[in-house]
Amino acid sequence: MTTTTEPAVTTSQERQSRNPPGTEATKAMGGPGAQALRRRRRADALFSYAALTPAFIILLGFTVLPFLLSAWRSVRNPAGEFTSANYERMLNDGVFHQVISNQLVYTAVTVPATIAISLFLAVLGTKVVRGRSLARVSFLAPAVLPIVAAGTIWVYFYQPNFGVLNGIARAIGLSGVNWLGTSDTALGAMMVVAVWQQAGLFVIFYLAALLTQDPQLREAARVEGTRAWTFFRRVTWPLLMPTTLFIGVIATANSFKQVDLVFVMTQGGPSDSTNLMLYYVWQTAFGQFRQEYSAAITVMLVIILLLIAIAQIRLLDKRIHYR
Amino acid sequence: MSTVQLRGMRKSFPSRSGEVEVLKGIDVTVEDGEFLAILGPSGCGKSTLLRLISGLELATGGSVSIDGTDVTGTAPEKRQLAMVFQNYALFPHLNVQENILFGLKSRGADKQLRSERLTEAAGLLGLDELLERKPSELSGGQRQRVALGRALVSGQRLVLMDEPLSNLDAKLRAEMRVELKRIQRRIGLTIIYVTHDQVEAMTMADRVLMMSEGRVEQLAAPEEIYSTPATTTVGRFIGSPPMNIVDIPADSDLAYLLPGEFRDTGATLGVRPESVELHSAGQPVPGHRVYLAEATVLVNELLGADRIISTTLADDAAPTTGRRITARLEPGRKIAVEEPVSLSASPADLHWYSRNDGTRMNLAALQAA
Ligand SMILES: Nc1ncnc2c1ncn2[C@@H]1O[C@H](COP(=O)(O)OP(=O)(O)O)[C@@H](O)[C@H]1O
Ligand SMILES: [Mg+2]
Repeated sequence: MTTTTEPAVTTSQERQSRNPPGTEATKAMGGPGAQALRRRRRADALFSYAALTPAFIILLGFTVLPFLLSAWRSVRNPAGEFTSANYERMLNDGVFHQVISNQLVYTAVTVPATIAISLFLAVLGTKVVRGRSLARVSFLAPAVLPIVAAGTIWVYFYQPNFGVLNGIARAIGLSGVNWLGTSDTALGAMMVVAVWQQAGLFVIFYLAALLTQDPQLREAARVEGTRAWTFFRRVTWPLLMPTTLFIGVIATANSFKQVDLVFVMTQGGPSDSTNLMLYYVWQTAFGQFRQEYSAAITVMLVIILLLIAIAQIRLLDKRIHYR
Repeated sequence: MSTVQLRGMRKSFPSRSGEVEVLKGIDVTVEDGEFLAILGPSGCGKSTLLRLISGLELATGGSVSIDGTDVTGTAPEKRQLAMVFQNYALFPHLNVQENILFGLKSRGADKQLRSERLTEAAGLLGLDELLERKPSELSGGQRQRVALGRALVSGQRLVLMDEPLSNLDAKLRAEMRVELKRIQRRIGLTIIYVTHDQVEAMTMADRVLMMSEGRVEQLAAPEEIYSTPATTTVGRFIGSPPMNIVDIPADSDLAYLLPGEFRDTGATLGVRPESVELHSAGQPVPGHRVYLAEATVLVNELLGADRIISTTLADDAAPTTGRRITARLEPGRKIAVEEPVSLSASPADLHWYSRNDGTRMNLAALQAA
């Protein structure tokens, strides 16, 4: 079930192993020095392959193989014939359409929100002078909490009768909302928890990136009369792009892998308003025992993730090379 | 017009053990169109002083005026100055043109002004071919020019520079010194230039402000700094090799060198290596020269146009401290290591300093001679 990010890993490993460094150049050379160099290069390459072998085995055994089995299963009917019935079913499955739309909303909101909030907190964090380590620990706290625990805490916050949120709402004279029990608010409430849960970790990444930026850049710009916001927009933000893209990749993967919060908080309800792809895969396989259909959805999920991974790697390659 | 007046500038930084006073009262007036070098060893507070002038740091005491206006508490962008940093402070993701125009754009200068200034600066600095390049595609010297270009397009007449050439190799540094001086004259810039390199200060500056431990040691033209160092610290810092400094207490065996006024107190003698002459041991020194001491040759180094001889004063001079004396001679001189020699100097080349605080003491008698 946690195999969904693996396609990205596969591609990057293939990219590395495809070109053992400098093979062309060494072949063109002669002489004993070049020979020794070639020998050393070959030894280095062998060592690299040897070191990567366990990873390859695990990747093959636990990721590629199950995926191929799923793909195989999704195109066979119980009688053992090839069929596209499972894929046709998707076209008419209203719940599946709901799930896809939930998933797109969930990804499209949580990824930018996570980036914005963690960047904002990191910028605040660089300005903190006293209690710096306390601030960092408190940023990180939600991220080290198990997601299940985080979800449970927030279920109490959202609880309609004695929950903290409605308590506050009533105290200031508003009527409470059944946050997780209403289709309109349930997905939003869950996204808040997801962002809260993962932003802390990314704050640390942004903080690290911000602290490596040369403070003289800001000073030079100050002398030139650049306002703080202009400087952020034209210098800080572009220089953070590699970090932002990295965080974007991880947050996107997280959004497609999200299943823990659904289990703890809503079980996909009410009326499938919080049902996400991975949860639906589980539901069809183990809740409804439609394993072939579940396999077909898994294949779809992997294909979507592959496309996203390829797009993001392209983007990464293009945007990072300014140094 | 760009003049700068510093009055009693003080700066303390908080530290674990209370406050550390980095600048202990600096007074200087920089004239319009002047090139002032702030020279001193690492950590003496040069950068801090420059940052106080720029407004990036605020003073603990004293005042800064630019063009007669008190700007002690004013923000950097309102101070009418430009600054060049040691690490160039170029934006790595912007190309040369964008880097140079960054400040003008921030201040909302119109397009025509921007392109005029760019053309002018690029022409002056030879950057025309490089405008599309990123800083990572430039050599150190080219980056330095871009940083300079940024300061020039700002149109400010006062430019502060913090060790702008220290990241360049020796040859490029020499070229940039000439270039910088040329541009300064041409535009009539007032430049305050921080450096720990005496060559930069001596070759470019109209006046040198020599600092040590947060105080002004001497403020004078380069020739004067060299010919009459105001303190032993200045003498030790400037010149290569630096001035020989020998402490002579009143009861020491070198006391015969002391002029009449200092017979009772003792004094510190300073003598530049090129003023020291070597003679064969035991031979009388020529009448117009002063005999200094017996010594033994320790090291003999040929540096192209000069020969540097390090000697150690002979053992019977043991109680005198500062026992090494270096001499700079013509390269053709043949001198063996371990050779005993006697040292002499012309009386006008002897500098006398107080033994208490190292300040210069001028002798009426010597002046006349
Ligand atoms: N922001 C600061 N906080 C504390 N101490 C500082 C700060 N800036 C400089 N100093 C101290 O002030 C002294 C002078 O520093 P600086 O002006 O950078 O010297 P220089 O440029 O002459 O090498 C140094 O001892 C340095 O440690
Ligand atoms: Mg400095």
